[in-house]
Formats: sequence, C-alpha cells, structure tokens
Amino acid sequence: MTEELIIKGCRENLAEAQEAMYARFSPRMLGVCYRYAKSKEDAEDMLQEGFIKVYSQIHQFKGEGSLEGWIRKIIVHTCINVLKKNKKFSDSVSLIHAHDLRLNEYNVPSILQAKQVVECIRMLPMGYRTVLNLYAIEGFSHKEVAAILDIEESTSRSQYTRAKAMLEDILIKKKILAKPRERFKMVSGEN
Amino acid sequence: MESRFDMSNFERSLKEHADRFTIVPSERVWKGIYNDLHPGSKWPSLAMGLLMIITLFWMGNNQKNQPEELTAANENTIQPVTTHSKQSSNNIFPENRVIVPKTNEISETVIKTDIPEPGQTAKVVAMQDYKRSLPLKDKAEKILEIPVQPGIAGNDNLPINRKVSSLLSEEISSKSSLTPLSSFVNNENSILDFNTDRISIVEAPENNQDLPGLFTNSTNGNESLKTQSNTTQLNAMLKKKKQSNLEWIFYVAPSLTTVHFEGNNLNTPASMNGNIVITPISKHSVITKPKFGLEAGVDVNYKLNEKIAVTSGAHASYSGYKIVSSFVHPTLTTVTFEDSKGNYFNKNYMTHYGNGRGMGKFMIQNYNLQFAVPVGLQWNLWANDDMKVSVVSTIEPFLVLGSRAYILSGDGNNYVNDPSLLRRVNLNGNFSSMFSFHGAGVNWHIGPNVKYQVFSTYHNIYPVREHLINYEFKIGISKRK
Repeated sequence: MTEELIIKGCRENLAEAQEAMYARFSPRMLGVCYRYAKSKEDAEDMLQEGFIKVYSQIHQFKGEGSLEGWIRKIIVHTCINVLKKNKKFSDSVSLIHAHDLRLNEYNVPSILQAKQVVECIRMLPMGYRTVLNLYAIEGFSHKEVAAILDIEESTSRSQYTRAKAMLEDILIKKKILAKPRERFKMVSGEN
Repeated sequence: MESRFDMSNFERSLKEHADRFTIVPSERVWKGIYNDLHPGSKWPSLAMGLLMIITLFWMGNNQKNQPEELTAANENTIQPVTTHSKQSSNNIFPENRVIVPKTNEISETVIKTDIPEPGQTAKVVAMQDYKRSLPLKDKAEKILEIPVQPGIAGNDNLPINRKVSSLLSEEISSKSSLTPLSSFVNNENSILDFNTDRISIVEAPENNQDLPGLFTNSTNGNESLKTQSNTTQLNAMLKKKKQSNLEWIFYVAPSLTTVHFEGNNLNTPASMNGNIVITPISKHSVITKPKFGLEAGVDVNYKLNEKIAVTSGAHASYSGYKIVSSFVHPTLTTVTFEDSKGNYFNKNYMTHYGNGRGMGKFMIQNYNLQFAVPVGLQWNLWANDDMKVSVVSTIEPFLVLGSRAYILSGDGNNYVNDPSLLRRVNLNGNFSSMFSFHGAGVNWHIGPNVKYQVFSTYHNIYPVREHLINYEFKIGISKRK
C-alpha cells in the first residue's frame, strides 16, 4: 500500500490503512519512544498514545515534508508530554548502572550496534537524556528544547554538555567509541 | 526539527545510530489503538449477546409466571373450600372469595358479586385466579348475561348457591362450559345474595387452550364429581407442561484442538525484483500438535414439543494448538499479504522463532480465549422416564477476548506474531450427541461435541486459511424435576 493510499485511508478512518501505517512506522517510532522512556512498557504506552494522536490529527497533514517526519514529531511531543506528567528531570542516574548492562561484544550487525548506542543513551539521567535526545537526535535548537521542556536555554546548553560528556564515557567504556578522546567517531560495522 | 545544520560528527553519528534503532511493539499496543479508534466495532457482537441473554431471561421469567400454584401436589383430592369477604376499595363491590387452601396448590378462586339495590341487575364474577398478578377485570374477556327467573332468589327452600348453580348449568351448557364455576357456586358456604332478576357472569379468557380442564365439559348431574375429575385433569396437564419447557444445563467440556492450513504462502524475495513467489502451504510447512483446552458455560433448552427443543446459552472457552519452532537470533522477516483489490503488500517483523527445523526445538502456542452465545436445535432421538438420547446442532457467534496466533513468514523460515491479523468476531458450528440420565439428585448430560470454526482465524488479507476443529466432551448437570 502506497503512502498516499495510507494517508487517504487514514483520513477516512479505514482500519486497513491505519494498520498499514502502524505496521510501517511503529517499529521505528517505538525506537524513538524507547529513548525517552524508562522501560519498553512505558515506551509502548507512549507509542500507543502517540499513534492515536497521529490518526486523530491526520487531517492536518498537508503533505509538506515526509509522513514519517510528521509522525515522529507527534510521537516526540507525546513522549515529552508524558515525561512532563511524571517530571523527574532532576533524577540523577549513576554511571555505576552501566556495569549492569550486558552487551554482546562479538561482531554484531548494525541493528544491534544501534541498540547498544540507544541503550547507552538510556543510561543517562532522565534530564540529560531528554535534552540529548531533543538536541542531538531530533535536531531541535537549544531555544526550542528550552521551550519544549519549560527550562532556560542556558540550562538546556549546560545539560546537553554534561549529557554529551557522560555519554562519551559510557560509549568508550562499552568500546563503541574507538579510543578515548578520539571524539565522535563510532566503531560500528558500517562506520 | 531536523533543521539545525550545525551538528557535529558526534551528533550526526549519534542520530544515525539512533534512527536505525527499531523495536517491534507488542500486540497490546495495536489492540489498544484499534479499540480506541474503532470502539463501535464491538457493539454488534455485544448487542447480539445481550439480546440472547435478555431473551433467555424473558423465557425463563415467562415460564416462572405460569400457574405454578395450580400444579397440584395432590391431584386426586380437592380440599374443602372456605370463603371470606373482602370489601373493595370503593365499597360498592364487596368480593366474596372462595379460597382453596394452598396445600392443594390451587390458587384462590374468586366469586365476586355486587350487591345491587332491589330491582337492579346483579353481577357475578367467578373464575380461577390462575394469574394472580393481573387485576380481575383484565382476565375477563366477555360477559355472559344470564336472565334469572323471577322468584328464584326468593325460594327459601334451596340454598341460594344451588339455585344459581342450576341456573348457570343450563345456560352455560348451551354457550361455553364453566364447570369449576358451578362447583364453586355449589358450595353452600359461598355468599351470594340475589334479589334480582339478572346475573352477569364475567367469563374467563377464551385463549386458554393450554388449560382445557378449566373451562370444558358442560355440567349436569353430579357437579362435584365432574369438577374433581376436571381439576385432576387440569393439574396433571399443568404439571406436565411445567416440567417440559425450560432446562438449564451447567457444564464443563475438556477439549482437544486440531488444525490444518489451506492456501498459499506468498513471498517477495529481493532476488526476484518484487515478483511474488507462491508456495502452497502443506502439512509439512507448519508442524503442529494438538493442545488441550477447556470450555465452561450454561446451555438453556426450551422444549417446543416432545422431539425438538431450541437451545441457547453462553460459554467461555480456551483452546489452542502448539507449533514446533526453534530459537534463532533476532531476524528481520517479511510476510506478504494480499488486499481485497488483489494488491500485494509486505509487512516486516522482527522475530526469534524459527520454523522448527533447526536446533533447539521448542513449542510456541497459538491460543484463543472466547465468549460465545450458541443458538440451535436439539432433537430427542429416544427417551424414557430415566434416560434420554439427543443430538444438538448449533451455531455460535463468538467474541475473541484474547488470543495469540503465530503465522509463517513469507519465506517459510520463521514464525511471527501479528495480533492485528486476527478476527475479533467469528462463528463456530457445533454438532453434539448427548446422553442424559438421573443420578445423585440431578440430571446428568454427557456426550461428545465437535466444533468447527467457520471463518479463518485471520483476516482475508492473509492468504493462508486456518481450519480449527475442537473435539470436546461435555459433562453437564441440570436440576432434576
């Protein structure tokens, strides 16, 4: 089913089209939710809430930009709204937790490399993680991040700096970064 | 969003990795979304179930309101009647009630008279109050007017009731029969005051064909004997009628489920440039094993006649089967579907269930938890006082309350679970034979039942059809009458 048919079907509230859209985008969107959530179950709750919004707001999609980008935007905002309801940005997660994570060290396909990176992101404290997700991965500016999270722009900058440093350390410990201070170059099957 | 161009290598690399990360959601997510988007789709089945339940309760209640009190405990004797007077609310029509004691389980019979002024018309209402809940006037359909010969009321040599009885017997025998009436007015304890030349009788409803003993047989001669005979006949018929109509059977049924598949597995391998490879599915494609399940519920049988009964009820059941699988590393696999317009489309799944031909075999289970409302007919093949043999055929719409169904991937190498493919409402066909007997104070009903799922477990977009057959053994009990 083409994307145009999916959009048209969703606008007509056809279950088949909705299901097709869900099947096409839900795995990636759950990956997005997973970066924000504490657990997979929480991520699935976010995904469910997000997709319901997607279907209810599909009439507002004008076809400007990709459908996936539009869905992702709604999903991210849903995740942030859920986090705001349980706001614990001040939580600090010790790096000690990183030792609890069991990672496969053998030659893994890129999909598992991506999983490792995401798992490392999820080790960050909630506040750091959220800022890093929004700034580094979703591509928001610090000004936008500050507006989304109701914080100062300077707070967003400082949290991102700390988050980035902490993530670097985790990635190095997990040997996902090639060597200490050889910055920002991932070791993966593809890179 | 995604419009910032000052991303460093770190952020760019991080984004690339994060964007590649996908997780397949569990089935509950789509179920939750679907239920939120299409809440109304449950209503037809729920409404149908509710309608059936209401119908059953109505039938049961209707049956309960039948003349239970008319069922005689002692069919051969009629207890002496007694009378009492009761003033009605407007104090114009005092009621003279002839009460048959409850030990006889015959409801009170009302003989109601008005006390007219001298020279005016008197009215006598006499009938079996077999529907006690109804007002007396609602039970009457027409009024018989019987002229009273002048002087009859004033003959002091005969009790007044005898006079009326004689008069009524003659009149009624030419129109309709009211034997019990004669009996009751014969009773000398009845208080009837006639100083009038006319008597009006409110006759009982004519549509009491099922109570023939009440208003049949004209009377002359020995009224009491005929009344007794008729009442006995009536009570026997009512007792028989009550026994035969409604039966509630509570049962459990262990079951064994088997499955076979039909259709084609569609595959779109990358090497075929999008062309579809069609592989007929066979018993070797999916290796299954039967699995035990359980059904529990209630059957309600409403007897239409000696041979046929309508049967309905409600039950919940759990059934399923096992598939031989094997554990594999997480694998991205594809299933190809065909929509109603003949267009093919793919869905990708992440799975770690192999097709059972590798190492590390284990069983995965497809199951189904359902609520069903069967409707059908029961034929009694043979019966005596203690045993009965019958066959039952029903169809049962059911609502899937919970399920899991692994399907074979397009390349036949993996199993994937996709709850969105499952029908939420389906239909079963049942055929069973039942042996009923008495024991331990209840009626027992045992027998085999074969259940066939009419539609495939999956929506039509999945080109493989699943044929499910349940073999059950019902064990039920009902109240002994």
